[in-house]
Amino acid sequence: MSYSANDEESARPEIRQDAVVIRHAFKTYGKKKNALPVLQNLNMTVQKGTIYGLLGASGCGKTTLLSCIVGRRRLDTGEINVLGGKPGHRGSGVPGKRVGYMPQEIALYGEFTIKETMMYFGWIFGMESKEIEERLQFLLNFLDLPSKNRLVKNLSGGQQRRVSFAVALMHDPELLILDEPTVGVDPLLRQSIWSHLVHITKAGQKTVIITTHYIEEARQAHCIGLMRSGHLLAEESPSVLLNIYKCASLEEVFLKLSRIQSQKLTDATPVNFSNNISLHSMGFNGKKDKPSSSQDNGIVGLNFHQSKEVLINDANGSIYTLNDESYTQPPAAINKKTKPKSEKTTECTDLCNVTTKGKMKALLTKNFLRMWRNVGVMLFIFALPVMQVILFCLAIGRDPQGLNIAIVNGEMNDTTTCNVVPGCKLQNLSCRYLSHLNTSVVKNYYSQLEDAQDAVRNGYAWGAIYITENFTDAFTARASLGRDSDDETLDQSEIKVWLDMSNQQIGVMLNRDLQLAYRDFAMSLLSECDNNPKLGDVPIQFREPIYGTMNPSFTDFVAPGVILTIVFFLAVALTSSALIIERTEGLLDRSWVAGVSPSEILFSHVITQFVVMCGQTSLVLIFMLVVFGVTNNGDLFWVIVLTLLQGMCGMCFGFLISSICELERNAIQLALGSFYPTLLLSGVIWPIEGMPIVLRYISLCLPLTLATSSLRSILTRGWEIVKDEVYGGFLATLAWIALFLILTLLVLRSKRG
Amino acid sequence: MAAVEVRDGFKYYGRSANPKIILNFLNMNVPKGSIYGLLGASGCGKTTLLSCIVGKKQLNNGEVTVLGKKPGAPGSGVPGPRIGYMPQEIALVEEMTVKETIYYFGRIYGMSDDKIREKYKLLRDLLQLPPAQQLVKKCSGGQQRRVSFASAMIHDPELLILDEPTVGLDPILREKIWDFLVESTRNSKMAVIITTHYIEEAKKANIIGLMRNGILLAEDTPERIMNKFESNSIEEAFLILSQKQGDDIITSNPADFKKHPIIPALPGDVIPSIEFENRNTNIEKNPINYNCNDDDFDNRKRVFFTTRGRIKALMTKNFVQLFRQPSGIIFMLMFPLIQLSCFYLAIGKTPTNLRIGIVNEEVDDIHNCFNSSMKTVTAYNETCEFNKVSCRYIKELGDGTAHRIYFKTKEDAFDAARRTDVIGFLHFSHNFSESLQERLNDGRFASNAAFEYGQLNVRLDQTDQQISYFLERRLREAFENFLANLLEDCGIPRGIAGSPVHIMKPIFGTLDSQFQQYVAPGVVMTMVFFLATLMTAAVFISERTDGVWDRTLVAGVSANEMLWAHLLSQFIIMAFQSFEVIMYIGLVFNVTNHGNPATLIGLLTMTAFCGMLFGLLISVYCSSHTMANFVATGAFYPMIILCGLLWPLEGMPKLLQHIVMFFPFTIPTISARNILEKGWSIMDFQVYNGFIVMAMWIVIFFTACVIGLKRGS
Repeated sequence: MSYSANDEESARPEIRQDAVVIRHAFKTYGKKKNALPVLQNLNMTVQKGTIYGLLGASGCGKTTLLSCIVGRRRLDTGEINVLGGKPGHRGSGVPGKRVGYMPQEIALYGEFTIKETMMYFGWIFGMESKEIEERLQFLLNFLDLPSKNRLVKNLSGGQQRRVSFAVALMHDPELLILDEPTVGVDPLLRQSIWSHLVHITKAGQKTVIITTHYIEEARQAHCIGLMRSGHLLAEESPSVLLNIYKCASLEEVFLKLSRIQSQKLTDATPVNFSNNISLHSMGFNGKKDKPSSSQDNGIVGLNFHQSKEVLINDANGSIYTLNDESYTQPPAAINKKTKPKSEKTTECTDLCNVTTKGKMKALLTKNFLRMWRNVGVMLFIFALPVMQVILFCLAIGRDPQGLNIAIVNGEMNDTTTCNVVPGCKLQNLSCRYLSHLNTSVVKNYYSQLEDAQDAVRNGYAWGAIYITENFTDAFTARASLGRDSDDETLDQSEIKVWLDMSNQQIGVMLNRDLQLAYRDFAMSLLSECDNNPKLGDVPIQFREPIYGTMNPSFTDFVAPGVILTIVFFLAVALTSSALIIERTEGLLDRSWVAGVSPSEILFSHVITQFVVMCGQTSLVLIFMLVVFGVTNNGDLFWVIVLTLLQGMCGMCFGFLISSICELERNAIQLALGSFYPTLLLSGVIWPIEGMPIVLRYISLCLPLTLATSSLRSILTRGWEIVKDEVYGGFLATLAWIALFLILTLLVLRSKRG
Repeated sequence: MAAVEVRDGFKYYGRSANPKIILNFLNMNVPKGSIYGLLGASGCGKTTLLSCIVGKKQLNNGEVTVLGKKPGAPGSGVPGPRIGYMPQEIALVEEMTVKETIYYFGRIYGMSDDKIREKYKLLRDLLQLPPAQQLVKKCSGGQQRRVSFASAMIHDPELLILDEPTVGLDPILREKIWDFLVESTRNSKMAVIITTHYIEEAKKANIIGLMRNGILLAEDTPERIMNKFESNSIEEAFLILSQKQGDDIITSNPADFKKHPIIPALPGDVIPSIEFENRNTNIEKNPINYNCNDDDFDNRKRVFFTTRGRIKALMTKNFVQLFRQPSGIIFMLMFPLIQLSCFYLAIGKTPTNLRIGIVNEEVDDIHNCFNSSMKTVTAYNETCEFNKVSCRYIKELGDGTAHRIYFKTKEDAFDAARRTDVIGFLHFSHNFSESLQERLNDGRFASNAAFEYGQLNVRLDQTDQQISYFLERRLREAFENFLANLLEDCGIPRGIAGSPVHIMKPIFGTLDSQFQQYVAPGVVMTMVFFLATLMTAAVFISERTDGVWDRTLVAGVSANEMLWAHLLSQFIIMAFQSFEVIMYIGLVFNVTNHGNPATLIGLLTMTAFCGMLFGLLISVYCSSHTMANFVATGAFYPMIILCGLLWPLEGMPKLLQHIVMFFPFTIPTISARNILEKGWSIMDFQVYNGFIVMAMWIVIFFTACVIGLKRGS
C-alpha cells in the first residue's frame, strides 16, 4: 500500500508528538442552577501514531469529549489541542480534512449507492473525482464490500458499518475518531477492523481514538483511558493496568477502579482522581506496550505486525503530563509544533477556499439524489400542487347548476307546456319571462302554490315562483297606465318569489338571476315593441366595471390566494423537515466534522428548494392560468416573481421551524397548525374587509395577506409594479424573508451557546 | 425439563421465492432454573428468535415449546403472565412515575394491588429503584434500565427474557444485575434467557449459545466451550467458531445452504450433555418441581383472569400519558378554540369599512344636500315636482353600506376608483331630478335623454365577487326603496317603482344571510373531525416506537384490548372536546339554530368519533409520525374543498358531484345545515341520511382498524 510508505518516511524526523492534548476540561449541560456536569477536570493525552481506546459506560461523557475534540462543541473551561491547533479555529483543519469521524450510528443516507456516498464525502474533502474513484476501489477490496452500485439501505448491518468505516478512511486523515465502530459487529469483522487500525497506526503518523463497550477488545490499543462520570479513572497501556491492579482482565480493572471512585465520591473528596492513579504508572517506565492480543491474531488474514522501532521510540518519549500537579502548561509539545502548524495553516486555508465548490457540488448532489430516490417525496412535490389546483378549480367558484325551482304559473292553465310568443305580442308574457331564466335552473311546474311551497319546505326545490293567471293583462295595464295603475293591477302583475335562503350562496345567486332575468325580459319586449327598452329597467344602471367583468367569478377572487398558499405551504412542508431529518440521521454531524459549515448546508438547501419551487410554481401557474383559464390581465413576469418570492418566504419559515423544533413530528405539527389560521386570516377565502378592525390589522401582519392582495391586483386589475398595492406585496414578502432568516440565525446561535 | 425448546427452527423474511433466511434450522434448549446467555452480533437473528419464543412471530418451519406449551396457543400463558420480557430499549412510558410503571405492569399481569405493593417493596430494595414518585423520564439511564428490569420481574415469571439488559451500563450496575440473576435462578425454577454483546460477562451464565447467521454455533457451559477450543476467553472461542463457519460457507455451494448441516457435530453433541449437566447440578431443585400440578392450575387461573384489570391499567396509562404533557393538553383545549375564533371572526362576515365615491352634478356643493330645509318633492294633483332628489338617495343610502366619499367630477372619482381608494362610484347627472320626473310622468313617451340622464350610474371594481355582489344588492335595494318612498310622497302606489319580481320573505333563512352561516356547519364538522384525527393519529405510532407496544403485547394483552382501551380514553377526551366546541359556538358566537340542539350535538359527536377512528386507522397503518401527518393533511385538504363546505356542490361537474356524495362530510354537512337553518328533525330523510353516512364510515374505519391490527400481529 503506497500511502503508508510515504508516511513512514516523513514520520521519522518528528518522533514524539501529541495528537490530542486536553487539560482541565470542564463541561456542563443545562442551566447554571441545575447544571449537569459532563466533564470534570478531565486530562487526556493521545500520542501520535497510537491507538487510544476510550472506554466507559454510555452517558459517562465519551461522546461529549469526542465532539469537543472534533470542534463540534466547546468546553466551558480548559484547553484542547488537536493536531497542533485549537479545534474549530480557522486553518486548524479541525473540523475538516485532517480528521476522520465515524459516528456511533450508521449516519449514511440509505438511498445512496456506495459510490455516491463516497463521492459525496470525497467532494466535501475537496478530492478529485478520479482520486475518489481510486480510493473507492481500494476501500471496496480492502473492506470486502459488495458492488459499488448497491444502495446503502439494501446492505446488511455489517456492510453498512463497513461503508461507514470506509467513509471515515476515505481521505486518509491524520486523526481518526471512531465512536463504537464494533458494537454489534460480527467477530470476524471486528477483528479485521482492529487489524486495519493497527496497520495504519504503525507508521507513526496516523492516530486513532476509538471508543468501545467491549473492554476486552481494547487490549489491542496502545493506550486506554477508562472514563467514568466525567473523569478519566486511568490512562495507561493495557498491560500496565493489568499489572498494577493484578487483574486477569481489563473488565475487572475497570470494575475495581469504579469501586474506588464510588467510594471516594461517597467520602465526599472528589479530588483530582485521575492524577492519583496515574502516579502509579511512574513505576512502570513506558506507557504503552505491544498490543497484547496481537500474538494470537496471526489467524486473521490481514497482516498485523507491529513495528517495534516505532513503539520503542514512542515509549522513550512518552510524556507524563498527567502527573503534573499544578496547572502549568504541558511540556513543550505545543511550542515545538508551532512551525509545522503554520505550514499546515496556510495549506488548510488554501484548501478551504478551493473546496467550497466541491462541497457545494457534494451537498447539491446529495439533496437532489435524496429527492429523486424518494418517490413519496417526489409525488408530494409535484403531484400534490397539481392535484390541489385541479380540485380547487373544479370544486370552488363555479356557478351552481341544475337548481330546482318550483313554478306555479296561472297563465298555463295546468298544461305542462309554456309557449313563448315572440315579437311584440302581449300574450303569455309569463312564459316569456320564464324563458329568460338562466339555463342553470331546472323548472318544475306545479298547479297549486301550496304544493310549490311545500316542495321548497321539503328541500326538493330552492325556490317557489308564483305568477297570477292574468299576469299578461295586469302587466300590460301597468306598463300603459303608469302612475295611474291601481293597487290590484300592481298586485296581479307581480311575480312572487319565495326562496330557500338556508344555502346563502345559492339563495343570493338565485335572487340575482331572477332580477336580471326580468330586466332582460322587459328590455327585449320593449325593444321589440319599439319602445325605449330602458323603460322597463329600474333607473339604476351598473355600467361596465372599473376592473373585472360584469359577472365576477369567485374563482378569480380566490385563485391568487390559493396559488400563494399552495406554493408557500409546500415549501414549508418540504423544508421544515429537511434539516431535522439530516440532524437525526447523523449525516449532519458527520458532514460537519468533514468541514462543512451550517451556512453551507443551509445554502445548499436554499438552492435545491429554489429549483424545486421553480418546478412547482410553473406547474401551479400552468394549471391555473392555462388549463383552467383563470383571468390574468397583468404581467406574467411579476406574477412568477411574486410566486417565487412567496415560495422563498415559505422556505425560510420552514427553516425557522426546523431550527426551533427538535423532533420532526413537532415540526410538522407546527407547520400544519400554522396552515389553517393563516389560510383563514389572510383574506384568501373571504375579503379582509369582512373582519373586525383589530383582526384586520393583525391579518395585515401575516406573511400572505399583502402578497395575496398584490397578486390579485396584478391578475385581475392588470396593475404594474409601480402601484403601491403591488410593490407593497413584494416588499412585505421580502421583509418576511429577512425576518425569518434573522430569527433562524438567532435561534441557531442561541441553541449552540 | 426444558423451559424453552426450539427444534429445527426455520424462519425467513421476504418472499418465499427469494427468502432472506433469518433462522436456519436452529436448535436450542434452555433448561429450567438456569441462565442462558444468547450471544451474537446484531442482525444474526437473536431478536427474531426471541420474538418467536414469546409468540410474537411464528416460525415458518420447526417447533417451539415454551414452558411445555406452544407459545400463542390458548391457555399457554405465552404471551402472558408466565414470561417476563425486558426489551432492548427502555420501553417505559416516560410520563409515568416509577411506582405507576410498576403498578401498570402488575395490573396487566392480573396481580392484585396488595401483591404488587409487596413485590414492589422487595424489588425496590433489591434493585435500588429510584424514589416512587420520580417520573421515569427524569431518571438517569441506569435507573430507567433498573425500572425496566423490575417491570419484567414484578410477577415472578417462570421464564425471564432479557434483551441486552446491560448494554452501555456502568460496570458496577452490570455486576449487580448479574448477581441478582444468579441469586434468583439459584433458588427457583425460573429460567432466564439473556442476550448480550459483552461476551465475557456471559461467563456467569449456566449455558451460553453462540449464534451466527441464524444458527447456534455452540451451546454449552462457558467452561466447556473454552476448554474445547483451548482458548482462555469465550470471545476467542467465538472467533474461532466464526472462522470455521465462514470457511464452510465459502467452500460449500450456496445453493444447498439451506440443507447445509451447519457444523453438525456441535449442537448434536452438546444438547444431551447439558441435560446431563443439569441433572447433576440441579438436584436440590427437584423438590420444587413436584408441585407442578398446582402450578399448572395456578397458571390457568392467571391466564384467564378478566380483562378488566388490563383495561384499567391501559386506561390509566393513557390518561397519565396525556395529562403529564402540558403542551398536549394546551393543544387539545386551545387549538379548537383558536381555530373556531379565527373562522368566525375572519370568514363570511359582511364587508365593512368600504368606501364608495359619489359624484353629484345636481349640486355645486355637496353640503347643500344635507340642508334640512330642502324640500325634494312637491306633490301637485296630477304631477309631482322633483328637486335634487339625488340628495335624498344619498341621505337614505347612509354610511352603513359603505363610507360615502364625494367627488367633484366623474374623472376624479374614476381615478380614485382606479387607484382603489374607493371601491367604485355613483354618478348623478346634472338634470337627474328633472329626467327622473319626466320618465315617471311620461312613461313610454319620455324622451331618450330622460332615460339617459334619469338614472343612477354605478361603476364598481368587480374584482372581488363577494364584495361586488354585496354592493350591487345593497345599492339596488336602497334605490328601490328610495323610489318607492318618492312615489309615495307623490301619492302614487309604491309597487310601481321596482321590478315586478317580488322576493317574498324566504321560506328558510333570511334575505341578508351571510356567507358565514353557509360555511359554518361544514367547517365546524371538519374541524371536529380532524382535531380528533390529529389527537389519535400519533397514539399507536409513538407506542410502537417507544417499544411499550411490544412489551405490553408480550405481557399477554391482545391488540384488540389495546384498541379498546385507546378507544375508551380517546372517546372521553373527544366528548369533552366536542362539548367545548359546541358550547363555544353556541355561547360566544351565538349561532342561530332553528332545530333541535340534541340532534346537532349527536351529529357532531358522531363526526368526532368518526375522526377519532380515522386517526386510529392512520396510526395502525402508518409506521412513522411524518407519514401519519402527511396522510392526515392529505386527507384534510381535499375534504375541505370537495365536500361542498366552501362552495355549493351544485357548482361542481356532474361526475364529481356523484363521487363526492360518498365522502364522509358531504351529506352530513347538508344534514347539519338542514337542522340549523330549516329546523328539521331527525325524522326527516335529509337529516337522518347524514347520520347513516357517518355511521357507515365509522363501521368502515373500525373494521379496517381491526383488520390492520390483526394483520400486524
